[in-house]
Amino acid sequence: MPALNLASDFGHAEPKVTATSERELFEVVYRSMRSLAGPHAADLDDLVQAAAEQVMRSLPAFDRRSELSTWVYTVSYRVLLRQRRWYRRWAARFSLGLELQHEPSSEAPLQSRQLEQREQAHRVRQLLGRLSEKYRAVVILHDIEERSVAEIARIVATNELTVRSRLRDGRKQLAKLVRAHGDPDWMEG
Amino acid sequence: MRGQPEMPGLSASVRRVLREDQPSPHELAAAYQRFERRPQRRAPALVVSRWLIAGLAMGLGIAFGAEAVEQRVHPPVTAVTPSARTPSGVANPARNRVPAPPPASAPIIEPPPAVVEEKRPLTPRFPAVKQSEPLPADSAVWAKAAQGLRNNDVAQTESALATLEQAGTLADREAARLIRAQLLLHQGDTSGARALLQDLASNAQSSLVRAKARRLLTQNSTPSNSPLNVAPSGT
Repeated sequence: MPALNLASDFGHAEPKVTATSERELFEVVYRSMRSLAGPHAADLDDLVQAAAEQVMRSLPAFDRRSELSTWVYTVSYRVLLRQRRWYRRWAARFSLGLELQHEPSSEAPLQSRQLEQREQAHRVRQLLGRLSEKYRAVVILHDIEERSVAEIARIVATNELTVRSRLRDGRKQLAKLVRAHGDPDWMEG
Repeated sequence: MRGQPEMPGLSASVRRVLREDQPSPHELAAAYQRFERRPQRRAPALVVSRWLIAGLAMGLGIAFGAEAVEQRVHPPVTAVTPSARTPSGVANPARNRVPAPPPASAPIIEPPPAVVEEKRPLTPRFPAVKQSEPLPADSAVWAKAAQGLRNNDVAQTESALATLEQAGTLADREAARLIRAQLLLHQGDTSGARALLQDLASNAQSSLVRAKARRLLTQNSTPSNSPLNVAPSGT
């Protein structure tokens, strides 16, 4: 997560979103949601739009008890859970003929090493995508985004013990998936 | 937390690859453009006021529509008296109120003129001010009055006229009183008839009723020209 450059906007008691900071804030939302849902999620755009709208609307109520990026993750996580829950209910009755994960589009020709890395990242994310939202969020936030357990507990609105428990179980499930469908070198030990 | 996990996580190389997998500026710009084009939420006050305006418009439409339907069903110009001159085949909204002509043996009562309400403005009024006015009398009551006249049944006629005088519209009431005056003349109650006709001649809302009442008063002053001796047209 890149450092935020919104200090000037959030130095006031009631932060206001200027045109510039809105763009920056949107990018924070986009990165957080992309990380949580995965870059190839079919509903990523919807999730980002919903989360960004929620963030812009709730910004005056941001109490700065946590970092802005943590707060954005909190909002994004809530939006993700809500949207996915709704989608599961909806999909029980109807079908769009789409999966939530889709193949990445190649924007530009890539070098072979880049291509390899992207392919690897894609495959790992596919396996991460098989975890439930709650486990995946904790594993991603801890192992990839390098968030502390306390921060994660704030983001997913639970206590630290639950976060540790979800991290352990999530890693366990991921290791099982990697053994079955991936490269054993992807996991530690 | 870091360095204490019981379960091994993703390897350092995979983590690095995943961290480097960041959205391109193009991807971010495209997403932000979509966000900028999002439909703006309207302020709640604006939404409420729009609903109020829509409700008001619907209410006005319903009121005007109801008044138009009511005017079509019960037009303001109504013939309310028995008349042999009204052809039965002619489409006349007030035809139901016109009883059949009395037989030759029945007392000859000259039908009063059609009661015409005062000229109304062309534009519909709002709110519908006719709410306070009673509904037009049932045509069955007029039929009952006509039948009483045909059968020389004074009680039935008076009963029907009393109903019309109390429950009908202003036009119904004035027409009923005019018939009652003629009935009184037929019964020989000249003073009662004159009082009623004088009242109608000066106070009736309908100009035609006023004119008819004046004519009856004039005719009643000369016994040979009594309206009771005039045969109805068509007989």
